[in-house]
Amino acid sequence: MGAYLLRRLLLAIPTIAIVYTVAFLLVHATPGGPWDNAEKPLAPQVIENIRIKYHLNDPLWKQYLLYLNDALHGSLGPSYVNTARDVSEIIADFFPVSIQLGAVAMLFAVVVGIPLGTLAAVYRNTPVDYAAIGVVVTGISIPNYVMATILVTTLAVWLHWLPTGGWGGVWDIRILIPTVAIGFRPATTLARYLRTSLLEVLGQDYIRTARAKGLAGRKIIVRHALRNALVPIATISGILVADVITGSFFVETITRVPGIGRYFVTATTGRDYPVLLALALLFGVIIITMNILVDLSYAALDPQVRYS
Amino acid sequence: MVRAAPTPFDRGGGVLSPHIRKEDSTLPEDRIRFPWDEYYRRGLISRRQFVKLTALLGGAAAAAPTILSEPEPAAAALAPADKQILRYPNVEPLHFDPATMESRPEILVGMALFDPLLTFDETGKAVPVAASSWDVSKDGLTYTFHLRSGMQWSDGHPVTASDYEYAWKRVVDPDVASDYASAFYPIKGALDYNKGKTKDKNTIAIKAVDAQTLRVDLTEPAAYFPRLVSTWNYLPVPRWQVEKFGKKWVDAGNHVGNGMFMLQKWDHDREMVIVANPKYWGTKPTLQRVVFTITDDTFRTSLPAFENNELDLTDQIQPGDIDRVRKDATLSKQLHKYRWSGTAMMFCDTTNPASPLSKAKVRQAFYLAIDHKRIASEVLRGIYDPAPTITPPGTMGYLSTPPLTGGVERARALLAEAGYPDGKGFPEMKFAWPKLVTYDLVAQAMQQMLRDTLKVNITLQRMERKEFNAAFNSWAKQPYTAYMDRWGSDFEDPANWANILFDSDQDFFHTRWKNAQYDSLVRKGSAELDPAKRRQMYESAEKILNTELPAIPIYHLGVIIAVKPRVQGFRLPPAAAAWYGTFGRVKIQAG
Repeated sequence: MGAYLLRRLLLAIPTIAIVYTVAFLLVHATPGGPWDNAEKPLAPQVIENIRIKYHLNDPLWKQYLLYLNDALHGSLGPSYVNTARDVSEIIADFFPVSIQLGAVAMLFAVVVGIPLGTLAAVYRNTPVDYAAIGVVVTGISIPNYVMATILVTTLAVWLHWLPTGGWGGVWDIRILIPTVAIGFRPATTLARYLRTSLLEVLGQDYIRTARAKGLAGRKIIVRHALRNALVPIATISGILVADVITGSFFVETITRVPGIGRYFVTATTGRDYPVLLALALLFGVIIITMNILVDLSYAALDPQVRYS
Repeated sequence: MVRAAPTPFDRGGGVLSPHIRKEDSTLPEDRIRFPWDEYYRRGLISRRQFVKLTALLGGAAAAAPTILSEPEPAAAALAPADKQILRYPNVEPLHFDPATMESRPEILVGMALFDPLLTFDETGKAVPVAASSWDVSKDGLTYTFHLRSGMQWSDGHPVTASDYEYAWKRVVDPDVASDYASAFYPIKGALDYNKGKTKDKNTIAIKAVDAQTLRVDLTEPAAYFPRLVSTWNYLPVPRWQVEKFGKKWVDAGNHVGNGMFMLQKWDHDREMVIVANPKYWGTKPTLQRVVFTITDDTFRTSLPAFENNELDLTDQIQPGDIDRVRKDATLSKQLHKYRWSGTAMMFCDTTNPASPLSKAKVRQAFYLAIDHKRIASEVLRGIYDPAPTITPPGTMGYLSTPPLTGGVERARALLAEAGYPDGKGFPEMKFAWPKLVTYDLVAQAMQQMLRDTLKVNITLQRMERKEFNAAFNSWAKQPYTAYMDRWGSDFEDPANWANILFDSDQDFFHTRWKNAQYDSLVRKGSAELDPAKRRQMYESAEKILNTELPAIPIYHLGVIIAVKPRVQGFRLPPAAAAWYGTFGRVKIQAG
């Protein structure tokens, strides 16, 4: 197990290097740079001063190495768009918000999705199943920003029950709308996968055996069926968690949550090179971590899987 | 200078201390009261009727609301000090360092945190702020500013002329790499220092003669120099804080200002608070706090938050929302429209032989074929106003009637004269613009109008902002056909229009248009100290510009926002430099 983990971590290094290189090339290949400004006249000398200050006159390979060297020494440099702030400071500001919101949204997804999928499977082809499928289809077809807009309009603007947006942490009431908006789709995704995998498990011989020896229905589902049905759920959860904690631009914008998803788009439209590179690296690390965690969870969930 | 008619919402009063009022005796003691003021206040006539009456009967001469002389709100009692709070939507400002502030989120707030030496009122008159007076030498080359005595920074340091000297020289420092260093090039020595030709700061002709006197020498006479001094880049900075904290001096806690308000709290991307500065030298504002809710899209989020009573004002109401808002019983009464000094235009490469728009007659035909009124009222839902000419109202040079008339008939005739009768043989041409809701709508409408009236087809090319900017910068050297963009005033003076945009040496918009007479008029105009002569020069120049049309004006900018009725005295000034005093005018009504 330890050797397996070590191997996976070592393999992550070249992956990250590739992510950095591709991100660097893409960022610089996109038309327009951080100081391509058409809103006001910049004197030639002014542009020159900026280019010198931020090494933009250096050849690309030199900029590539300069940034890499700084990043390896833990310095992500200043943002090009907001030069008064460092990239690490900006990430420290935005990322914890997205992690918190993502965690709560994921919790919501699990609390809603697992029972929903289970009910749909157990009461297969009954009105309960159809109702659950209805919710699932709704969740898959409504994009999260439409969901957020609907929630804000009904709960805040019409009914005045909740504020339209803002952020005050996990225990603040303002987290409700973004949680549901972000968590609803993962909830239905979980339910859909769980229904399929649970149906398959429920058709297995050992379930019939359990029934035959007279175990209570609920016990069979929870203790025997659900546990095995969760393996594909673990796979999909890893992707969902990575997706949810890296934030959603639209939901974060509509509900005024200062999260990383929103900042990523701001940085892209502003061509904030250092921020974009840092975020590409960060997202790369998150996805690699989630994949490793998913693989490890197989061992916990399925006794047939052994890493050695 | 033509101004918009005053509205009852121009009330505010007390931005500047009473003793300026005394010093500046030419200003009316009070805004002229119309007999129907009282009817309006009692709700007997609507705001629309009030404005109409004022515009019809009062005329422009009577319409002189200034930042100094606005009546106290009549009937309603004010809320107590602890309730004098304004909740305002804003996007995350970069910082409040005058040297590198560049856009609305920081300028709006920055102008409340620092005092400029002087500002301009709505009538275009210079008004003293931190300087009680100033003199100009006969040759127009030397400006001497006399600062008030006894002014303090928010941390208790005295405000002196050397604070301004230090701040101004800092903007020109190549290491600071300010976008706005060029705003100081009229000052002797500034360009050379910014270019790095010399490392000696003393070569810049900005000198604090003593604690209360600041002297500046210019390279050539510049009638607009006081206008430049009223902008945010000419605000002072606290040297000791800058030297102590480096670029972190702008953080809440380190930030020190000499303005009416001071920065109290700045929770990045969430909330920011400014509070009345107890050490302020002038009259203290009635408003005690402004709480900025920070979001990255005030257009989309401020209206719902306003409707849910989380904000006292909205940002610009979008074309997609405006019809609903106008029909809403409550919201429709809270709408306010303000003129914003700026114009959206179709810029043409006037020298590209492959482009039909290199012919003046084609540009004129396009101008006449576009129905400006329909674009403003139908396409843009009345948010913006039609622009028959380029320089916007409020800026010297503005023409109330365009030199080119004749409508669609003349447009067709001009197109035929240019060699494309009935649009025959008109080459394929591209029309580019950076993605923006209003541009998207307008470009499509223009395409339709040109097809219907002139039977010519233009190909639309919508680009992402940065992609457009990169293309725009390449057009400095490469030929193109046409694009749409806009220019908004930093300050309302033709030096911020004609001279930097259409003087052939500057040619900011890459139209490559060159007219010797125009160049000579605007260059003389920028140095002319006699306002009447100056106006004449710029108006003559504007006639040439609007006949040759290197840029085809489309609409003038404006803003429609909703404001809660308890907020009194709020108005959005038409140019960024005039934002000084915006929050100082606000009073919150009780209840």
